Amino acid sequence: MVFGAGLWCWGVVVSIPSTGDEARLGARGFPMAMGLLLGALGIVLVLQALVRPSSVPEMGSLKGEFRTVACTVGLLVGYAVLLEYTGFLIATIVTVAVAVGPVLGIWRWLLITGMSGGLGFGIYLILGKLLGVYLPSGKIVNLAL
Amino acid sequence: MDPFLAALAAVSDPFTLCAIVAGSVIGIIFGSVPGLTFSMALALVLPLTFRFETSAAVGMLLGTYIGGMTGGSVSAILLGIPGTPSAAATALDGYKMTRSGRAGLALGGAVFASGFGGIFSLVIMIASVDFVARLAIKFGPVEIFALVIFGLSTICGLAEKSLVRGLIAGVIGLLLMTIGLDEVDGVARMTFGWTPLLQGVNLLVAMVGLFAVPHVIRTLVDYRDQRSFQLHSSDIRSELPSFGQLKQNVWLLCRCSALGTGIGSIPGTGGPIAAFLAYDHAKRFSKDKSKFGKGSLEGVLAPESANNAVTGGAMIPLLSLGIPGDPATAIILGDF
Repeated sequence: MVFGAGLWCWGVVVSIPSTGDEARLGARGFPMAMGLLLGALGIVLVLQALVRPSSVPEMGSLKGEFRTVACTVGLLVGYAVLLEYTGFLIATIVTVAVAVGPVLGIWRWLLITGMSGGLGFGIYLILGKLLGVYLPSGKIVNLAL
Repeated sequence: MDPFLAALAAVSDPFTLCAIVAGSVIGIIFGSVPGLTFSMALALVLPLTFRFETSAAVGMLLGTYIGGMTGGSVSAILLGIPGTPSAAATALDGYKMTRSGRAGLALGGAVFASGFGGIFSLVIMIASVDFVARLAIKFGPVEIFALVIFGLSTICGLAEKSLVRGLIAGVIGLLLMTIGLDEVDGVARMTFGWTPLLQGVNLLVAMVGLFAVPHVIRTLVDYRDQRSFQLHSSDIRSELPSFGQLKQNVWLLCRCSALGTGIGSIPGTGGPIAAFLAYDHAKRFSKDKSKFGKGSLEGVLAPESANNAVTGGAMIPLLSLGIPGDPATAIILGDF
């Protein structure tokens, strides 16, 4: 948390130009104040942990949790990248297929195809066609959604 | 009394009633799907109303607005993912009720509280539109800042086990909201030259992510550990709170509805602040605070009555002064 706060404050200094007038708070003021507050709260958390150490969970369960978090984050990042290049329909079908197959380990092809295709086309028809909501189209594959 | 009777006659028209029902259904659908907002529903419905009589057009738009506010609670209760930012507080106890097999009661309670809050705020609006509008318009930046700080103080009530962690979560939220174009100086903050970040972090998108991603992770962990939680359709029965439960909570509903009406009448505020303040208020004054966060009916009734009361409150500055309090009322104003 303290490291993150430090990184944030560095980002504030690098990316937000100073007003040059020290009497004015400027655009930097609020983000910098919040970054410093986060750092201070992080230090309090560290001190609390030193004074009252909490029980450490078993490594086995932590490993499983990390794998689950990594899978979810990986799927989300992959979905975002696919959305950018292939558009909503293909990205959704591929991501749902990967979530059902490799992630959940359910290798029933009918279920994978039905779930991914049904969800992708269902959302496309309801949101894109029926309700007229804008769905992203890809840079490489553009299905003119 | 005459304007009342004239309004009643206009609303009793079958076409107007159909328009109100259609608007409510559209609002509930849009509100209950995380990512779709009732502002979006209003924008889509608005062109349809151009051909309608005034009463039917206004009825349809108001139905969409109020239906959307209520619809947000459906996904908040059943999935733990709020359909609208205003329903975020409802998810805290609503989803716990679903997990303990009381989804029907949570939904019934939310619908009842929404109806109560909406009607309460409309009565207040009719009775005191001039007075409340004059009071609300005196709220300047300083008063709104104080109100927001008051809203943030609910962190202290919501952070149960560790106040420091609660404050850290609040500060991270404030940090994320600083990303984008600075509204005073017009300077890009923390965008690092990336244009899409100029518009900042969308509150609804952030909220869906914050509620949905942990939900996905929890579901995957439960699936891995063979503890999968499945919601069967038979678990969800239409169930309204009993007379005893309502009698027990009627004073809470009145207080939270008044809170929502007051906050809704201040331009620039909105449902999320009202809902979280109401939740915190209900918890603070509850006889058994330990139930909150574990599936308390009061934890559903309080935010739902407050966020729906915001709709009536938001109409006060709109009808009296022509000032829309939020994007939804700005769209409705377009039809007047």
